[in-house]
Amino acid sequence: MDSLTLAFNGFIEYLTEVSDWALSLHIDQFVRVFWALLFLETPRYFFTNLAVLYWWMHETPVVEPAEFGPETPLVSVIVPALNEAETIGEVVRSLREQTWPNLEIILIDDGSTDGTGEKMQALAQRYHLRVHRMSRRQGKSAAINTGLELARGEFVVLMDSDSTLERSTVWQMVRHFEDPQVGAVSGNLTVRNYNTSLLTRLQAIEYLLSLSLDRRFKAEVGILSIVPGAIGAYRRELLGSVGGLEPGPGCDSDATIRIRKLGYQIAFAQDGICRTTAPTSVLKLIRQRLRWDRNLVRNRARKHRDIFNPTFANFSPSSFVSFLDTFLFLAILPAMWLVYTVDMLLNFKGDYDFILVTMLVLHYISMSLRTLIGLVVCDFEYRRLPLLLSLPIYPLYRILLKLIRLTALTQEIFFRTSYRDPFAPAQVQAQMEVY
Amino acid sequence: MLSPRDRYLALLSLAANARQQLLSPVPDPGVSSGFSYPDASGLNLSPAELEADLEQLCELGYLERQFAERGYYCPDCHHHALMFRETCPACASSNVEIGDLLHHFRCGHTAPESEFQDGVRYTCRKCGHQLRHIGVDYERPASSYLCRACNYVSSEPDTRCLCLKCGKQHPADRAELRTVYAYRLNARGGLAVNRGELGDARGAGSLVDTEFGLYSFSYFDERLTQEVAASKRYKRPLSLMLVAFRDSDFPAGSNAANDAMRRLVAGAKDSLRDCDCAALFREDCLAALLVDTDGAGAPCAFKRLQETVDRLAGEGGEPLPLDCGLVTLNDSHATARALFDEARASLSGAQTQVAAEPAPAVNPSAE
Repeated sequence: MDSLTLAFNGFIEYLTEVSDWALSLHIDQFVRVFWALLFLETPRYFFTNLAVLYWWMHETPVVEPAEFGPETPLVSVIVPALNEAETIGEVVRSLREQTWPNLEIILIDDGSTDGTGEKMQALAQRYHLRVHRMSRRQGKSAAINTGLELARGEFVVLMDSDSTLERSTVWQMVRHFEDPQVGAVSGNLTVRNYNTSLLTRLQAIEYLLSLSLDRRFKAEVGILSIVPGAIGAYRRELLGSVGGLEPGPGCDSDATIRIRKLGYQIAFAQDGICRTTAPTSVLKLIRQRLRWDRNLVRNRARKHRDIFNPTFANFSPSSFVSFLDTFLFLAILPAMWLVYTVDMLLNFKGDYDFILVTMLVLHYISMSLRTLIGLVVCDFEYRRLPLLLSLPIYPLYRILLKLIRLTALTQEIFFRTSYRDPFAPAQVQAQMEVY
Repeated sequence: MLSPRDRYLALLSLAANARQQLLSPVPDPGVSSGFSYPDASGLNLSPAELEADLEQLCELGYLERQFAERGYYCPDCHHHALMFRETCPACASSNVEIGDLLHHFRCGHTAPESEFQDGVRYTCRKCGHQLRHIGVDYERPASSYLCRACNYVSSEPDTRCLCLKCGKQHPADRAELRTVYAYRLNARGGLAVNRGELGDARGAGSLVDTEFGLYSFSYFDERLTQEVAASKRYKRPLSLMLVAFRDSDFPAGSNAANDAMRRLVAGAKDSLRDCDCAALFREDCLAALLVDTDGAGAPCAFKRLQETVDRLAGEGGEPLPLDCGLVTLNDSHATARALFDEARASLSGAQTQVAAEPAPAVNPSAE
């Protein structure tokens, strides 16, 4: 008991020392130490999360109709799959549970070798499904484009074959199309296997903050420019008119940007929950994030750089702000974080531990509040509250993500690595257009 | 009205003229069996009479059966129009619905899907929570049947059949399985048609069965018709007895079968009166016409026959238990055919009663 009291007293004494140090800083030193936190991260993330909480508290809940009328439009759900024999049955089961009555399920086997195609055909005999099998792997884009050719629905939902939907997800997404300005709708991705390990818990927090809260904010202010490949809804003719999906990684964000360029808005269905399986090993996580982050350069900096051009015929201020936000917070800030760390180590050598502790304390306070907001706003469940216990490790996870992002950006800027990503089969890689 | 012999010959002629000499059944919902024989329709027999005659011709060895169809018939009225349906095990109503059973993980509530339905949503009646994601907060562990009449939930319904003719309902396994046959003229039948008489079969066309020294069956048939007509006219009692071996597993044509038949014939000659008429009906069946014998006397005649047959075995000889179908003529028997058919049915009933006593199976109509 005495030793615990001693330790606690020592900790409080240390915190007092840190706060004394922070308060003793001269104004120019204070800004130099806390500039990113004060002027960028806090307003961009903390205040926007508060805004989402405010919107959530003041929004009128939309209640699903007790029954759908006979005029309910047909929605085609396209599920491309490559070697997903174990999960495809679960995907179909969750689709068959949808409350949306007029649903067309299209399964595309992209040349699987593990019996996925046979499983699909067995499912098609049991349920009313449409199945198309590629004789050889063509890539996810080609599989989805084939599904688009087969689809007859007014709207299409594209989803991954390792994800499952809540019963009302299709309705939650499709209802946004009542607004004719909405061209695509992003679903709300959550981590199904968040209880598997510390890594999946950290990803669950990240999904909650970045994919749920942040996309809600971006959608509210009209700058959302990505619909995840795991779950998204589109107007079928619109998606067809932009040529469907282009080959290679980032095909989902690429299609969304092309839809934005036509002047359409991207909506976010916060209650359109899709549970996906997060990587369970660090290596798989690194591979996944390298692929995601390379698209920042591939699609936004190169392929769609005309978004920044005010003379561009379809120039849109919201798309411009969206891209600016992405570059600033996903590319420039991580790069600046390296510069900042070096600056602190060189110029605040004696006080670096104070800086680190201050940052960590502020980080825990901020992250705890943000995670709580996320848990309340998005799909609240008491059993997810223990996610908060993983927060002490979260800074390390963020450092890992920053390092992965910097690596991905470097690889793509100098080596165009994404064009050799096995996400697309070799014959497609050889022919795809390079930007 | 044609005599049985003329009917048989006419039927054989029709079979001879039919395509491939085959009297084939065709679906006919108006007939109790669901099938009629258009090639044999010229005789204006009722479907039941026609089927009985065809069977009789098979028994006599002029026609051969060929499988045509097999189906279920009402065990009460023997009509073909049965409707099989799934019914509630509790109240037998057919107002049952199949649905999935839902299991709500949160509170453990398990009930048919319809109980959870709240518009397009699923809401748990027990805890009030919404079921949102299959595999995450609820599951469909099995199917169930809900009776809309009595709300009974079962994992498997009963299957029952409803007869659209008599309106009675029975468990499916009680439905009567019957085979419908096509009948092909065989060589013996062809010979009979050419000769214009039923002479080629056992003793048919002649007075006496030369092998066993009894009357031929064709004579017996004629005599039966005459005796039925006379008994009806003069109000005389008349009984018909069909006797068969209880353990009729003798190989056909074997010495054992011949010995048994000879014992039976000897017993019949010994125990029956001179005025009675006996003939072999089948290889293993003896028919006896008991004139001036009423329902009380007929079982005595059978008892005498059994005793005589047993006595003929001698000391240490094998007993030869017999089954018997006994019918006494009454007003319900419009024709000799009806009397004979009832005796056959009575014999069949006696043979299928495993626990039956060796006493003769007396038809209730004879009482």
